This record gives sequence, C-alpha cells and structure tokens, in this order.
Amino acid sequence: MKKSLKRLISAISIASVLLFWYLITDGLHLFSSYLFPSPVAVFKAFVNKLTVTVPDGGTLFTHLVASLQVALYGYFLGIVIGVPLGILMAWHRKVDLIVKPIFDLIRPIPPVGWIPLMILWVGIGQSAKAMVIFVSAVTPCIVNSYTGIKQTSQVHLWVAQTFGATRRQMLFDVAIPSALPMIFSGLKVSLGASWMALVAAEMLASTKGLGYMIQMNRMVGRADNIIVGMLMIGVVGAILSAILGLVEDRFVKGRHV
Amino acid sequence: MSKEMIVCKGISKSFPGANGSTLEVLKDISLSINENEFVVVLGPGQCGKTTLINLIAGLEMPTSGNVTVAGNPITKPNPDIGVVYQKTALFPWLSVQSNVGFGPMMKGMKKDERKKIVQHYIDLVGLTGFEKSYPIKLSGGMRQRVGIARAYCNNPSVLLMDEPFGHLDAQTRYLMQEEVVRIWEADKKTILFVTNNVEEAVYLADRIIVLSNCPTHIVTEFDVTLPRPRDYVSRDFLSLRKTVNDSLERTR
Repeated sequence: MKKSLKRLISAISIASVLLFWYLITDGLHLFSSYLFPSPVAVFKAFVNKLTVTVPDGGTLFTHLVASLQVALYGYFLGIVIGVPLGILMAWHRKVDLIVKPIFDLIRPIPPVGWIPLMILWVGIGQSAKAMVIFVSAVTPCIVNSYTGIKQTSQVHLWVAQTFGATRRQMLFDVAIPSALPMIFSGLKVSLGASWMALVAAEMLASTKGLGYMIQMNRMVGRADNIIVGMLMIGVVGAILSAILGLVEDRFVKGRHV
Repeated sequence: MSKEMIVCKGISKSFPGANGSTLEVLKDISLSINENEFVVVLGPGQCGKTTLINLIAGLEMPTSGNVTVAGNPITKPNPDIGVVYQKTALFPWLSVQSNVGFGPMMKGMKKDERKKIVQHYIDLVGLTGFEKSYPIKLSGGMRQRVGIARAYCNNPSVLLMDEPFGHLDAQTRYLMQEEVVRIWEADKKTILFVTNNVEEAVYLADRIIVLSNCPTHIVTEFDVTLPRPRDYVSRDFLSLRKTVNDSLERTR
C-alpha cells in the first residue's frame, strides 16, 4: 500500500473520532458541556492554556517541559543502567547468579509503589519522580537486553568462533548486534512505562507537570483543561515513540524487507 | 603423493541423553582427506553429520579419537578452517560486503585493506552489484553464495560445508552445484562437503564417503573419476549414482 494512502486513512480515522465527539457534544448536546466539553471548547482551552497560568500555576508549556525533563532524565538513567546490566547478566554467568535473585524480588513491585518511600526520602521534587521513572524504565531494559543476548543463534556464535573471534568480539560483533531489535523493543516498552509512571507520580506528588495539571483541574472542575492535559500526554507520548522509531531504523539494519 | 590435510583417527562422539543415558552419535570414524581434494560425506539420516563438521572445525571435542588438520591437532576453532552452514548462518544485521569481510575484520584488518579482497570474493561468487544488500533481500541461492564467499574470504586451507544447498529449490541447487565446482576450480581448497543427496555427491566429489545412520560410522567409499564438468544424465554418471545409492542404508 502506498504511504500517502496509509496517511490518508490515518487522517480520516482521527477526523472521524473528532467528528463523532463533536456530534455527541455540541451537535446533539447529549452531555452537559461542563462535564464533557466539545472539541471546539477543548481547542479553545488549549489556546488559552498556552498563556494563562490559572488554575494550576503554570502554562501548558511549563507543565510540558517539567514533565519531559523528569521523564527523559529517569528514562535515560534507566537505559544507561538497564541495558548494560541486562547484557552483562546474559553474557556472564556469575553476574547472572548474583543479580538475578535481587532483580526477581524487586521486579514485581509496581513503580508507583516506590512513590511513598521516595517522597519520604527526597520530597515531592523532580528527583523523587525521576527515581520512580527510573524504576519503571529500567525493568524492560534489563529484561529485553537479557533475553535478546540469550537468544543469540548458536550458529552465529559458531561462525564467529571459526573465524577466530575472541569472546569480546563475539559479544560486541555478534551477540549485541543480534540482540539489537530486542533491545530496541525494550526501549519502546520502557518509554511507554516511563511516561505512564510520570503521570501517576505527578498526580500523587508534585507541584508541576502535566499529571499535576490534570489533577489540579479536577479539583476546580475544569474538564476542558483536563482533556487538554490528557491529549497533550497522548500526543507527546506518540511523538517520543516516533522519534525512538527513527533512531531504531538508523541502528537496526537488515531486519525488514 | 599429495599431502594429507584432514585426518580423523577413530573419532567417536556421545552426548548425554535423557535420564542419564548417553546418545552415541559418531562411532569410530577414521578418514583422511588430501590437500585440495573435494570429498563428499554422504549420510542418510539426521544424525552425526553436523557433529562431524563441528569436531573437525574444533567447535566440539570428540569423546575419543583425534582430529588433525595440516598436521596440527584440533583443540579449538581455527581461522584456517572455514565452515559454510545449511541456513541462517549469515549475520542479518550486516550487508553482503560486511558479512564477507567478517573473518578479516576479526583478524583486525583495516576497512580499506579489507575492501579489495572482499570485492574479489564477491565477484568470484557472482554477487557483483549486491555488495550493500542485506541478507533478507537475497534469495536462498544468493545467501549461500554469500556464505561461501565469507568462508573463502578468510582464505582457509580447509572448507567444511554442512548441507549448504539443503534448503534450496531444485533448479537453484543444480546451479549452485555447478558454481561450487567452478569456484573450487578457480581457487582450490580442501573441501569436505556433507549432503544426503546422492546425485549431488556424484556431481561434486573426487571421493564419496558413505556414512550409516545413528550411531554414524563409515560404510564404504567411492572414488569418482568422471571428468568435470559432469553430465547429470550421462550413462556413467547414472550408473555410479545407482551404485552409490544401493550402498546407502534404508532408513525410515
């Protein structure tokens, strides 16, 4: 199928949702406009929120930047620690034996479960949230890197060995490139998890950010601003994973026809 | 008198099986292959052939007996012994030229140094123009050409080929058989080629070694003196094909 046709279908799909939304709100007035504002009202709130700081103490932009900063900080920390750790665990039996039991114990704790402890330790500032995001980002990074390395084909390792590859060359020139698609899918899962954990953390303990903005507007009954915040979270999340997709295409070669 | 290149003396290999039993895969195999000889190992069953390749390549150790290549005992993999596998052995994340240049890269050869010899072997196997393609874009026959070029590019004196054409369609298989003889004649190596296809064995070999099914041992040997290029339907070819075929065990 042509790319332009695919794009057209996507555009029509989004347009129909907006149209349906408009019909049941401003069109047929099925709901009170206070509880379920129309797309037009939400767009107005969006434009308004670009400059106005009431009722949540910041413009849309300041909340977005606050959220992005803390999310990316925690996310990158998760990658930088999680990916090498997962690779090491898969490649060195001893590291696996030492780290695996600890990891298996910590892993079932949902990231949001760390929030109370983090508030107690470092307050409700950015670092508490960054830690919570780190916890949610690091797990998929470890799991996927580990699995990816473990799934390296035996024949590929044989080939490398018959060419006289050292163990280090086998890791860097065979196992890691072969695990790369799996590692990238971990990075994607991780990104989604970070973004979700961020919003949860901001709703529970924060002074700014998109999650905080949603929570504040619930208290004052501004459904339009809530929807603006939600849509912002959706759009930015989609953009971030699209960027990651581009990075993946740059690094992962030869896997798609 | 030509030089003995690969010598296996009484090698056996067993693997631990279920509930503490042992599975004997190779039993007392002794063979000797001369320099630049093209030997086909013909085996009917599913067992033993890849293990034999892996033992000669030094990827596994025999339970008893020993292997020498060019007089040196084999205890670990050695760049002087190249291996071409049945399938999926190309690195999907590398282009054709990077796959072919993998051996020299492991030796630490610089990229611009590699380029010339890589191109030589890509041309030799007839893949000129596909240097930058990834394996996923290539047909089965082309992938095996890359596999052969990759093994050749490291300039080993011994080439082990483990049913390299087993997954190709019949037409491509005939073509690749012609190609492998052409490449071997252009750049002589000692080749040990494993197959379960009698016609392929008769077409390729200077000598055919017939194996039994599990545990694998040597049943008999045939010298093939038909002149090359061989004709698949000449009377001599067909009669040898029948003789070899009759020597195979009937297995279900």
